[in-house]
Amino acid sequence: MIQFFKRIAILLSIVVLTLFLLDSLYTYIYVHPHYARSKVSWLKTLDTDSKYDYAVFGSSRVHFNFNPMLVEEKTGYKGINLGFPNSKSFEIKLMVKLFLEKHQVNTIFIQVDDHYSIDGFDPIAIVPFLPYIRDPQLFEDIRSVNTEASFLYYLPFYRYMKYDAKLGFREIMMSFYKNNKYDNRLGYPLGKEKQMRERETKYKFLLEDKSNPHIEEVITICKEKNIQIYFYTSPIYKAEGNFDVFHKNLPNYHDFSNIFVNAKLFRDPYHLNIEGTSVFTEEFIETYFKP
Amino acid sequence: MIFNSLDFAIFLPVVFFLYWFVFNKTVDRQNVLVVVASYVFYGWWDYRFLALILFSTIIDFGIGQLLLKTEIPKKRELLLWTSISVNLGLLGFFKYYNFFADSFVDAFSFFGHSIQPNTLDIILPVGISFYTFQTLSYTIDVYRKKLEPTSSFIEFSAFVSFFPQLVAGPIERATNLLPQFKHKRHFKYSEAMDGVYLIIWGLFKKVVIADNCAQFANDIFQHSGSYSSSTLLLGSFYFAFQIYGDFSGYSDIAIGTSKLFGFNLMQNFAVPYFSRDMAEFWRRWHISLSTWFRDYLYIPLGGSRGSKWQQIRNVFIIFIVSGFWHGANWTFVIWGFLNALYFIPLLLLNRNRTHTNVIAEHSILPSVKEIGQVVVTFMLTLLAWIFFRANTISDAFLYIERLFQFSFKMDRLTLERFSYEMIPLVVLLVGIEWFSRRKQHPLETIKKPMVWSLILIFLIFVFGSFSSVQEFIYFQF
Repeated sequence: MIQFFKRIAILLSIVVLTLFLLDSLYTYIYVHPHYARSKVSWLKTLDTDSKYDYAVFGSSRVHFNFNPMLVEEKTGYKGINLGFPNSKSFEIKLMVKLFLEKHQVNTIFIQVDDHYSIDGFDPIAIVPFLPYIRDPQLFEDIRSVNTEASFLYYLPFYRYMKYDAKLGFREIMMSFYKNNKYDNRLGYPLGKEKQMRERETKYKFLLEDKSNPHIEEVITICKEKNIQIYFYTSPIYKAEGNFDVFHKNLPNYHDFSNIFVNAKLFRDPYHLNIEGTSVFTEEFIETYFKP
Repeated sequence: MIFNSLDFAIFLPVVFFLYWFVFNKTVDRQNVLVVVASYVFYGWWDYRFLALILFSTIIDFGIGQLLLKTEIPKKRELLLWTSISVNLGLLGFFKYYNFFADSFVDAFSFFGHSIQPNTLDIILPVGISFYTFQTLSYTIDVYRKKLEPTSSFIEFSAFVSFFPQLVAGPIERATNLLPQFKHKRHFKYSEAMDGVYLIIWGLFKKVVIADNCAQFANDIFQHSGSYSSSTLLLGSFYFAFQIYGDFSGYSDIAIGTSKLFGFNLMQNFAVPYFSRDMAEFWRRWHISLSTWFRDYLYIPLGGSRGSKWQQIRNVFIIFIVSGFWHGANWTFVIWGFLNALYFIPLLLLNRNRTHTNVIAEHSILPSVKEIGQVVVTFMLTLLAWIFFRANTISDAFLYIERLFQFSFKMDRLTLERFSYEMIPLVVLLVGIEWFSRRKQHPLETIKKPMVWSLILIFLIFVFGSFSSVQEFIYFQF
């Protein structure tokens, strides 16, 4: 029996050591990627202390639907698209903090929609932040919304196993030979040509009449750093909702949700296609950047 | 509680410690702990299931005692049929009631009569098909006087509920497992280490092969209408390895766990995808079920004796019943029927026992003929698996129809992976199994098994699928 326990102890010790080594290796690769594959990782690899005129934050409705290159071409303002799919208010807050750690900006735009009511984290959008969870501020933020944060922080390699589909071996390998589609495009990947089929369904949403704590925190940070902050809602095909909640709770809010009625500008009711993105960006310039 | 869970990772060492250090004085104490641990293990799913297994245990224990006391043939027969009726009645109610109710409604509507389905909201108790067959083997063997009935209720309860194999087998024979509860178990280092290696190997098959293949197979079967023939072929290929990795992985973990407690269970899989014909495949796939059907159904029906027509009938009966045992769906019946069709020509040509040894027994590589035989057998199996995996028979036919359109494209799946991405891992499994085909598992009698175990553990961490943990497929049966 003693021999058995000795063997098991050796086996477990080597297993734990392996987990530590794997954790360190994966984290190193995410911190120093050959190619940055996620928006978070991409932001981490950007030159530090860059100065921007503006930055836009939000979900896929920013990521795919806002073209900062067009803004620069038309107005000369230098900006960056920091939207990424699935992110909710919490992930937007993390992204703003991460950005302001090493960059300077005059104005921040935040896209809000029916996700505004969600206070918690998004289980998909949180994943790109996890390789950097050892950052004390980031850990504190994640711990405030995710009860599993301590396991993700302390158990070696646990975060890479739990989210193996997004952070696992395949993603590590891809980071050596396949870049993201928004590198050198100021964070805007060329969207999809696809056109939505004409449909009559309306996109309805009902917002809770309350402020979002994460958005409030972002507003406070911007105030402290003397950064102007604007909120807007990107176009939705036939949107119907109580947008007055935004007007009531958010400073400098502008509603673009119903500016387009042409289905040809959308790839689905919630996202614009390439043409729609260009038309919308022009509308955005007209609203915010014209003297 | 499933084997690849944190719950089980805590449960197993606790039971191991109690078994060898606290309850180790007598065989009765060891058996009591096995029963308690098994009931905790089973009740983890749903405590209500415990009443069912306890009821089944009491009935079969009682009938065993009554069979011991009587020599009157009619009375013995009545007792046997009571046990069969109660066990199969429970199985039939929980597993097949809604299926038959729906089938009757469909049959009546086919003839133009509309009747209201009278289905019930029944939860299928995990592993009911497994322990039902295990307890039946006890009653039948006692009836046949092949086994002395046990007078200890605890011993019998431990046999019925033994947690490593309770929910998905191997379906143990009373003649093999029950006597092991009669004697105090003593710790054996080599057996325990072999058990640990088997658990690691089983986890590799489950977490690296089955769970990864499951993601690809599920996607391809779910969106089969939008993929090319080559992707559909890969879909059935992945499902073949999903079900193999899942079920044989479970069996290995079950056998390995049993070894930690001093028990030896029967081998359930013996490299089935290296079979050279379907008869060999069925001697290597889910051996505990195949031999159960052989001993308790096929042979009593006459087996391979009698006229050719009787033999064919018997083959159809066991394969269709076997299909039906897997689930209350016509797809399983067709799967069984198809396997019977594969088997009949071998039976008629007296070639069903041509390949009783392992492939390439005395050489490293197989001959060209053997490769051809293995490929044909595997392809036939793939075709049958499509029925097993499809939700309905029409889904299966549509899948096959698209498969035979022979369109070739490396599709990008909706899970954002290319259809071919899992092939290297499956090839790795096939390679390991090829070089260990003469052994029960790859880490058996190998030099430096610890090193190989660590390599497997490393592969589990790096390639394992943890974000989409799948329950073992056979739990649903």
